Amino acid sequence: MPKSVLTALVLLVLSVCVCGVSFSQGRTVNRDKSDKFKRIYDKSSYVASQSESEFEFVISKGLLTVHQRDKIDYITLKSNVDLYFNKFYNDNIDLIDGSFKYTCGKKKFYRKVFGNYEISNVFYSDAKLAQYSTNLLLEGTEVTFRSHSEYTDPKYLTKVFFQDDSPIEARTISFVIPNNVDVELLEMNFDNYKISKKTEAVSNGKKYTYTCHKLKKLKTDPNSLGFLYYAPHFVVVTKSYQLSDSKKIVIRNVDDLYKWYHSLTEQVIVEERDLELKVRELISSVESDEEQIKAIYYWVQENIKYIAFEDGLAGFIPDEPQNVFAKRYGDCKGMAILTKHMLKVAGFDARLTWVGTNKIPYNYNTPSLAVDNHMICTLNHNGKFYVLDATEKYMALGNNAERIQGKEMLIEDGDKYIRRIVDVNNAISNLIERTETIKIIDDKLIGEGKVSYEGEAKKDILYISTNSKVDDQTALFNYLSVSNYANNDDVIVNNLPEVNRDVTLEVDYTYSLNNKVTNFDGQLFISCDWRNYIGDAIIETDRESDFYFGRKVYNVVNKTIELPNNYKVEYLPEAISATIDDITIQINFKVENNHIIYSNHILVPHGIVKKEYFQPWNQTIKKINEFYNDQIILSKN
Amino acid sequence: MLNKLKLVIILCFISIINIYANKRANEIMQSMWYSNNLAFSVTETPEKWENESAIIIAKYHRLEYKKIALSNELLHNDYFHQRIKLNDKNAINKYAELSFPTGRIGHDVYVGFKVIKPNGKEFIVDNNDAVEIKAESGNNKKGYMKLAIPKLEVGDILDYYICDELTLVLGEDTRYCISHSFSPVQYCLHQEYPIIEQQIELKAQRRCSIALRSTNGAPEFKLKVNEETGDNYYSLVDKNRDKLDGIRWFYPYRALPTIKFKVDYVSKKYSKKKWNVLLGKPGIAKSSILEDELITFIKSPVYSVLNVSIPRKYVKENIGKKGSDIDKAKWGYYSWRHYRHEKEEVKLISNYKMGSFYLDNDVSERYYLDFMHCFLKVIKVPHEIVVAADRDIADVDEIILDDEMRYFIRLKDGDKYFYLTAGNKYSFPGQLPPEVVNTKAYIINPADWSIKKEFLNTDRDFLNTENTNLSLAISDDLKTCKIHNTSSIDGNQRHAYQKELIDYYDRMADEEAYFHIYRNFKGALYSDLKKLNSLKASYLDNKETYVNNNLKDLVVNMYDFSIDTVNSFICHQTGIYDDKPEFKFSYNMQTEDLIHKVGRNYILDVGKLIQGQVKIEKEELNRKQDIYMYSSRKYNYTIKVDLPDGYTVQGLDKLNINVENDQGGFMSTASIESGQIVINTSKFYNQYFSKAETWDNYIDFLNAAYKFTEQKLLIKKL
Repeated sequence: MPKSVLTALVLLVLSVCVCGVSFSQGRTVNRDKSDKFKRIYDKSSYVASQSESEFEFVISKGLLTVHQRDKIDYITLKSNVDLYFNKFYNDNIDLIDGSFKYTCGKKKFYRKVFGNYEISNVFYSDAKLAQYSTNLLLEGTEVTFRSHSEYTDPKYLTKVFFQDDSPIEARTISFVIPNNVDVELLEMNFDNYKISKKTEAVSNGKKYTYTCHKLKKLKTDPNSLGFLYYAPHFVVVTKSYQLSDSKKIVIRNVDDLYKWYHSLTEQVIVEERDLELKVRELISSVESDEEQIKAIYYWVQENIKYIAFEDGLAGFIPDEPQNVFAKRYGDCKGMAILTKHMLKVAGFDARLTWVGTNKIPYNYNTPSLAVDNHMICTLNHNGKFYVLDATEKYMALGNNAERIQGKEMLIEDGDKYIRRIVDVNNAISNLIERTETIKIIDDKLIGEGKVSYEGEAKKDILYISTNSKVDDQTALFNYLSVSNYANNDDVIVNNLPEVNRDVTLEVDYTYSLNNKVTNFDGQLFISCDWRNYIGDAIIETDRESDFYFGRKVYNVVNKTIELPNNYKVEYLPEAISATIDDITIQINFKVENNHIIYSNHILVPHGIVKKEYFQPWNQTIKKINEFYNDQIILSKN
Repeated sequence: MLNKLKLVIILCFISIINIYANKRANEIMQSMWYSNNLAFSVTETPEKWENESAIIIAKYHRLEYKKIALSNELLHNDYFHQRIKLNDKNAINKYAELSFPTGRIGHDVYVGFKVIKPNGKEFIVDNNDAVEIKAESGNNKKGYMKLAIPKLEVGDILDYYICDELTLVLGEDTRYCISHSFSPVQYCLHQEYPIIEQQIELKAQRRCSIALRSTNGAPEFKLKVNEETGDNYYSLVDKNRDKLDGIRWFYPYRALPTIKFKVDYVSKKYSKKKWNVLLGKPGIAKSSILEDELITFIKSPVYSVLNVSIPRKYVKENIGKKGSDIDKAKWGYYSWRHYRHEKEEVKLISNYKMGSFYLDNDVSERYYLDFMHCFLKVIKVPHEIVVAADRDIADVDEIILDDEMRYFIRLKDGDKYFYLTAGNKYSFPGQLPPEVVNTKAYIINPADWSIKKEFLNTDRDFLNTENTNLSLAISDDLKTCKIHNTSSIDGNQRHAYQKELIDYYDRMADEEAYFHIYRNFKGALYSDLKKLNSLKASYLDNKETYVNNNLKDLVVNMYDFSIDTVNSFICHQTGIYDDKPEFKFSYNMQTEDLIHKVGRNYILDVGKLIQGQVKIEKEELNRKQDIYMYSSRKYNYTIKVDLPDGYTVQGLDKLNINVENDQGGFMSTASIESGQIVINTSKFYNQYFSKAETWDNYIDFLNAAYKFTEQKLLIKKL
């Protein structure tokens, strides 16, 4: 074969390879537009120049469904961008179509992968994900994603968000609602956004169009209660629709919501006989009501493993209690219904109860499936409602998990219901207190200490220690005593704390540490608090939400350091005393009778640093770090 | 009528399949749960293991390989059966949710799970409760099954089996179904939990060859005959194994009883090819490689079409006949390296998205061996072939699989050897990979095909050396430290830095002194050029950001203090040629976390400047196992700190440390020179392998280095 022909063939092969990504730059690329957006969205690889979602309510064959149609125009701001669009669906949302095209209308190669969407802590659910992806080689490439899905039951359309995975230059959400459909659109977190609304008549109904510009990418700030607290969105409440001959109720109010929930729980076939033997065994050796309740509640906590199935209606209907008991696993609903019926067998008045965790900012004034995400059991005993959440392993009776404190419960009461608020504990219920007495001998820190835990920390430590291998349990309690020590240091834990929810968890320890005292020409430089508590809590000031510690914080450290013979205090770090909103911080040293008394008290009563206090908070944390880095100086008399 | 008939036929077919599947499931259940294997009837566990999280009472693993006669199908059956006692919640959590493959056409999966309560009561878990997790893309379907095990409590025994019967289709036309290699298996007989008894059985039939070997005191496989079928199989029974702890610097495959095996199918027609010499006779286990077999294997190029014109032409034009053999080999290596990577530009700017034509063309060591041997033979340069094994896998005497072999070429260079290895785009000739240094290897001379064994040594004490110079300036307010870092990294360790910090354009800037560089996307179609140039411009615009981000990621993980900024990266030497082997670069970083006010003076955390050091935990102090190191290595630091005006320093005396022994050392000196604090440190690991008795030596110098990181200097006001 002549060389020139061979060369031509090679070039042909090369062109085929390269052309696989389709080169026709003229129509698919708009650099002027991308240059403009790059100045605005300088950290993004791509931006949605226009994002439109339409929700059309349609009555067909006597059923109300909602069609969602999305059209999103993207433009890349960098070269070689992998663009993904995730579309979720499940048994109540049919995914009808989805595709990428160049915005100019030309075909664009894309991949589609669909399958189960695995949710953390959920063993199996009907949640499915279709992921559409395409590679955009050149900066300024414009593509459009279109999708069409259908909510086959309108009560599952609960929330609609303005923001998405990329910044959006112009966002439009419209609802097309026939006159005979009663829908309420609750506007959430609209205050900080300029959102315009337009209402227009369409055939047999109205179209409501909301528009907003220059939206940031939707993200959940770390250490936050979640974006429901700050992201602009709708809660869609579909109340009812009128057919020619009848009115169909969806969910108009909390009565309807409870009615539906209750109808589902009524479907559960309960065989309390299967539980009787175990209940009798548990309560036979205890007399008081409280001890009996504890015996049952704690047994469920410890013996029913959390394994969640959220498959269609199974996401709302509890498993049969006898099944949960037999299988020894269940989700929150399974644990709640088992707790309820074991208590009923023991003669108590226990109820199933719906509640939303603190990730959800709504209460039952909003009649929507979006209000709650959790089921517990409540016990009405001697006029007091006890909250029993068996998913909270090692939670003592009478204490409530931080995540549901202050949240409204919907408690079953036959055909009716009771609305109550979960009691809110104060910060002292989460007290972590450390007390040490310290001597300095041969440039070593010799200490005896005790640390005690209550509330959320106690619950977590008990769970971790009882679910760890033996070797790891030892390492855990050593860590709780002294967080970081070298192999030539000695740390001894004097007690293995008992697994008892009802008493304070205490760890007693002694230590001898080599690296906490530095001797510079006879002067001793001592650091006595190496845990640097909240020292790393500098808050990014550009975040959207309040900073949440995950629990109320009350941390107390008291250490007494005995001055070595012939030494006097040369220098003590300057005390810190700060009050920021409801937060108080007191860290100081003082000298009393040949002893240095160190005190570190930090109280964040709601576990939250509000956004408006980020600046003083960060200034204080900076000072606290300076304090921790500072040292006591002792010099010879 | 016809459609009805079709439907009936289909229903009949499905019924027959279902009947067969149920029958097979029942057969497997009988063989797993109701066999005469007494190990699986045990319920009591040894007292010595009562504190263990779980105890494997019995484990049975049978692997079968068989070619179907007159078919292009290969059967691979994998039967796994385990009986485990769960002693704590940790083990319960681990076994309460299990997964197994989803069955499909050609892949039958049979499973059974039962729980045995402490009182002896058993119940079988309903497999129908399993749920499928699946993902689909076009015709590709993937998935697995998940099953929650009910009623599981501490003290229970879980007895379960997962059996796969897989039919592999080798190809449409049986004439071309010449071979198939199954993945090699190597595992240590010690596992996460202690084991009372474990059995492994291997059966290879009909053109399937099996290589297997027990090492480090593992029991030998024994040939047995199945009384019912008359089939031969190999069986290993092992008892009473303690759990395997995670240990630092430890190679379980070299120190603990281990087995390894691999099965290969080769059609009869191709079985006589010389490169199949390592395979044993079908169905008969092969447990060693004879020297003659190895020579035959090496003599027979696996890659028969080798075009060595590129290095030959380059050497002919640039080195000539008068050049030394070393130079010819070296520049042959470089020219071929250049050829392999010169088209990487498009790959770089398009980030692997332009199609396979542009993908990296690094080659396998065997291809490299065949290629370089052919090239050196053509240009008549005498050389030897080295066959070695990685030190963490096996001794060369124990290798039985081609997968275990490393291949190199070496030339005599006076009284030393000059090695040529396959490597990557940053490799240069003359260096041995650290994983084979100080190991025993076969040396084959292709001139006469003689063979011998020899230890591979290099003429250098340390293959991997990092030299770092830090110049630290403290700001006037004594809050901030600005650090100028100049690093020089030698040996294998440099690759991790080169990969992140230099690119095609940096390398080609060096390469153009020796090679013609194709520029402007020569060879691409005119219509593509605009696009390629656009991609290149976009990449180069962002390159500095990419590099500084990569550098920050590297640096932040190196030092135990927070770093605010990292910038001003400069590459001083790429380290891709043997005459300039070090990768040299510099950058600046800034931190507010190194100097702190204490009273009216300041504390400088000077110890943290030598990066985070290995911390030996208290529970690691007593060691019974030998120590295995990846390589010898050395880390040198020179730190210069400008003392602020009006301040003096205290604490330098604590920075003078000298711990040195056979295993390694840590040395540091500190002084004041011309108003500067000058600190020199050196930490080095001497050995590739040390007996457990020397562990205290390691602790001595590792503790010294760790202690150094805790040292502080007092910057004191005059």
